[in-house]
Amino acid sequence: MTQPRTPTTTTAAAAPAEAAKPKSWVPRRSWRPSLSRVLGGPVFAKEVWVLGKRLSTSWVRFIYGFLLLGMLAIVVVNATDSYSYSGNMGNLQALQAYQQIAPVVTIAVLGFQFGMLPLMGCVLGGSAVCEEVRAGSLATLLSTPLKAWQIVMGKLLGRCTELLILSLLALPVLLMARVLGGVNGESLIAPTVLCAANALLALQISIWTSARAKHAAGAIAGAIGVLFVLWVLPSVLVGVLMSVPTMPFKGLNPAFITLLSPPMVFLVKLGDIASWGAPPFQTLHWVWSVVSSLALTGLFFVLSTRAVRRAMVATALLGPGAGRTTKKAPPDKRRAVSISQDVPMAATPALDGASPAAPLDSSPDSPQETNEAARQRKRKKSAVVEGYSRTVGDNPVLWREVQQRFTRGQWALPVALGICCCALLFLYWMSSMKEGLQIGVAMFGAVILLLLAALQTPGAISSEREGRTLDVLLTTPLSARAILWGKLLGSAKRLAPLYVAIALHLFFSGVLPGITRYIFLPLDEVVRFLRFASPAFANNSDFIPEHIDGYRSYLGWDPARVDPVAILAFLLVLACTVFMQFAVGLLLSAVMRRTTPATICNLLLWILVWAFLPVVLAIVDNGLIDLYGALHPVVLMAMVLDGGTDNAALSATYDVPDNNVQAFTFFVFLVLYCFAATGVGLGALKVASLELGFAGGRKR
Amino acid sequence: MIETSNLTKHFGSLVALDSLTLSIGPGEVFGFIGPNGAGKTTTMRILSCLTRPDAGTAKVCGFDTRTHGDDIRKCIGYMPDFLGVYDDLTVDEYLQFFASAYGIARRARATIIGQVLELTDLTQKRHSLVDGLSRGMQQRLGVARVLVHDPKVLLLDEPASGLDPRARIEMRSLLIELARMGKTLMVSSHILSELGEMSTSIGIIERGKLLYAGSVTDAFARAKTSATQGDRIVVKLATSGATPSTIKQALETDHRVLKATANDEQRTLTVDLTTGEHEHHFLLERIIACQGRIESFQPEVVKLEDAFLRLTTGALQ
Ligand SMILES: Nc1ncnc2c1ncn2[C@@H]1O[C@H](COP(=O)(O)OP(=O)(O)OP(=O)(O)O)[C@@H](O)[C@H]1O
Ligand SMILES: [Mg+2]
Repeated sequence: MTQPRTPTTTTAAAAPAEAAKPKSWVPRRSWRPSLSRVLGGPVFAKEVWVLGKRLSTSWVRFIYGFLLLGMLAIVVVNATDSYSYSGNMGNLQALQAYQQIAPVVTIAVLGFQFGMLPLMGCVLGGSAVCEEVRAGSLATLLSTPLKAWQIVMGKLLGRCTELLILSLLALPVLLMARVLGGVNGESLIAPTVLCAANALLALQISIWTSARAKHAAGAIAGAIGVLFVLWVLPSVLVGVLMSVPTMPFKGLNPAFITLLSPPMVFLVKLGDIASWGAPPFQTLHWVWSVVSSLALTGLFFVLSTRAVRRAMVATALLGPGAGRTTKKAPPDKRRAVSISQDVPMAATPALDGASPAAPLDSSPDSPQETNEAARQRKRKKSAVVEGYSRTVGDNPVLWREVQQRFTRGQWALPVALGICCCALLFLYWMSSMKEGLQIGVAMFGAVILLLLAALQTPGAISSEREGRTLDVLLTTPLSARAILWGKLLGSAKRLAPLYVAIALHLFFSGVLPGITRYIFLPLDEVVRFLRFASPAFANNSDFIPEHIDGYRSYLGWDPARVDPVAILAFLLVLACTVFMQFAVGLLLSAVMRRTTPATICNLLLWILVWAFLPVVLAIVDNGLIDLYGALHPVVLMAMVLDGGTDNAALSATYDVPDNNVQAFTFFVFLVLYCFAATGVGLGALKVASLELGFAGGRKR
Repeated sequence: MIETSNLTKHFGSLVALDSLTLSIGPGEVFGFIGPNGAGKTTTMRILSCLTRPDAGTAKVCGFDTRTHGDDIRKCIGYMPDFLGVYDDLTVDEYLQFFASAYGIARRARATIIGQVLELTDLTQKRHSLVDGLSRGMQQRLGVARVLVHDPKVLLLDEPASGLDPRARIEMRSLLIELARMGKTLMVSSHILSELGEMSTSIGIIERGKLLYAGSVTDAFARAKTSATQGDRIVVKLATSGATPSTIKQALETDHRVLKATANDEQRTLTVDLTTGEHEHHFLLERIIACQGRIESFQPEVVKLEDAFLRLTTGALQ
């Protein structure tokens, strides 16, 4: 009885006091820590609503479900085959048969989830902040009392619901495996929870990269990279440290390496289901892995909040997109400009005089105003500097693409390349450049390149559409082909460093080993010096493990050599594949309205073609997978390097899955593949240009 | 220069343009007005070959938009209502970008850009980043971009939005200057007084239907309530003299006065005259004769707004 009266009295008391002035139509509330506020409130609601409304969301769900079901069907059919299931079995037998397939099905479903959900996390979060920054709506959010962490939380949870929906698609299967198949509960829960924790981590990382990147594609690529590093680096580091005898890591259980990498833990837990053997660590250690993933998620949450706050302030001060890649000139130079602004009469004639007289295509600037800026620009190669204008080339779209930078800071690329080089050198040194290393590193680089290539172009056209610049571009007489090729070549230029790095790696480790081994001689000397100088080293007989001893007498050092023809063939296959992915991405970008769905579709498409299809084919039929393998770029690239190592590429036999083929046959396949890929790419470009030119009589 | 016949465009079930037939001659400044969602932008997008009409034809510079897009693109300059700019270019680079897109030789670009910037009064900002420009300056940059390739026909979608009063006046004189240079302009705007001053002809569109197209003076004539109505004069009287209603009675006897309305509280008197040329001083004399003390005497100017309000119903689409 008393409860409902309390609010009535307060309103009654407040009413006479407020009667005089017109009341605000929004009921005023004090800040109470309510659940909806903690969850991000309006941002969360908007995210869920918008995501749910988009057609692309249903498409993604549909494709995801389709892939899952397809794989399930194949696995079930295949498993029933091998367990000789037949229609006229009794109930008991059927149940038994089912119990036999259940582990296989469970492993397939869980493996699929673990492969896809973190990836979907990266993709979903990639557009979270940067799109808002570009649309200018982040600045609007800044003017509301919402805190940055609430925005991040809203975005995180909003996209989480999408992940949750995707993961729920597999729930019926898992439940059936538990109830009918009798799969142990813990071995179902552990992989599921691991999967969820890592998907969450991926999502949070991509929100962080999204707050720092300019475009969704860059954010997605960055998130995948960061996630990958987090998955691999700790265990690699510990592994390396464990191999160094003087470190305290020496006595560590090798299982620790596994424990540091969530995918490994996941695989071990899958092994539980199939009873592949005793786990290398105790059953509940997966909880540790989950907790550390969640802790990392928390860390990235804090980082995201900071990044979002910074992005908000930047957009509020300078307008959308400002203060991100562009460098404002330092104060002394600004003063120079503003002085000339104060005296317009004096400055204008100077500009007028300078412009017509500008020689050839040198920068058309008034000297006194921009000398400083030009000097500054020269110092920081090609950075965008206020107060200085570059000269635009004859294909403006290409020019602008090429000017765009892949990374934010001017040092990021060189530093990354430097780290890669050091890591490579270290690897060379450790492994004495044996064959496996050369192929392994090249293939690793190639796969990363293909992944990045799938992310480069889907935003090319759609982001212009989103930024409302496409209309203006389409009213110019630029042909659709010029626009598309400009975008494509620009993307190629951005990925060129990686491509060149792979080529250099092969050349350096495969063609030049006779020379390169001398590079490692100084290292040898360093080791010798250490031995001499430090008793700790000298007394430790373990210190010269076999690989160091192996190269010490460098005459006996015999690295593998790769035939240059094989290297060229490898690079050709890679280039054709990248071209095809670029072109298809551009097509998707032209056809689809928005960047994010186009990116998701392109990524899913290539995962489907390059990774999913082979698995399916392998399960279905051995003959098919052999044929497919011959047309699969990664297989082709690995084969050609494998065959061309320590052999002449043109006379070697190639170890194509299941049978050896002669060089001629192999190269016919290889050339066929290149033609096919290029053809698909050109076709996609053609369709894209038709799509762009659809509106009115454009030359294609 | 611009000719459309029975232009129709649907967006789903919504009819954005409904048999629009329009003709704009060379050198005209065509003001295109209509409420929000009337179909102005859609028309301009069709004319600049960005959207395909569902039915009907549109010709610009004598070329059909469906078949000769490339020829049209060379001779028009289209400025969209919402100008997207590349955030990583300076003003000079932005203009170079489009000069290059229009195939202007590198040597010529610097001079042209200089002139265009001069015309739009952006010379000071030549090397500033486009992103950092204010809304109004970006708008001027949009006009500058449109002029880079010296097009014959300009399609400007709300060029004055976001400009300060001074810049608005400058924009107007810029457009008048462009018209003087012999260009054909199609300008959409919501600021009717402005259009009224610079247009040679106007078109009023609502819900995709062209309600009126013709000269500005004709449009003014339509703003009147009836054929018999002439000028309207608003007189405000001081409190010390006679009340408006007494004066009203005296005035209504005159044959030159069509109707008079008095408001004693606000002490105003609104007098509608009959058509024909009348010297207004007869009114003054009569009011003074009735002991009225005039505080202000204001003939009401007929505005494009009136024509607009009269012709459109104000329904949103
Ligand atoms: N791409 C589109 N998809 C669906 N509907 C559209 C699209 N473009 C325009 N419309 C609809 O067509 C109608 C006409 O729009 P249009 O942009 O031409 O109006 P407008 O006269 O330019 O309005 P405003 O004065 O607000 O700029 C509107 O009802 C709009 O909702
Ligand atoms: Mg409009």
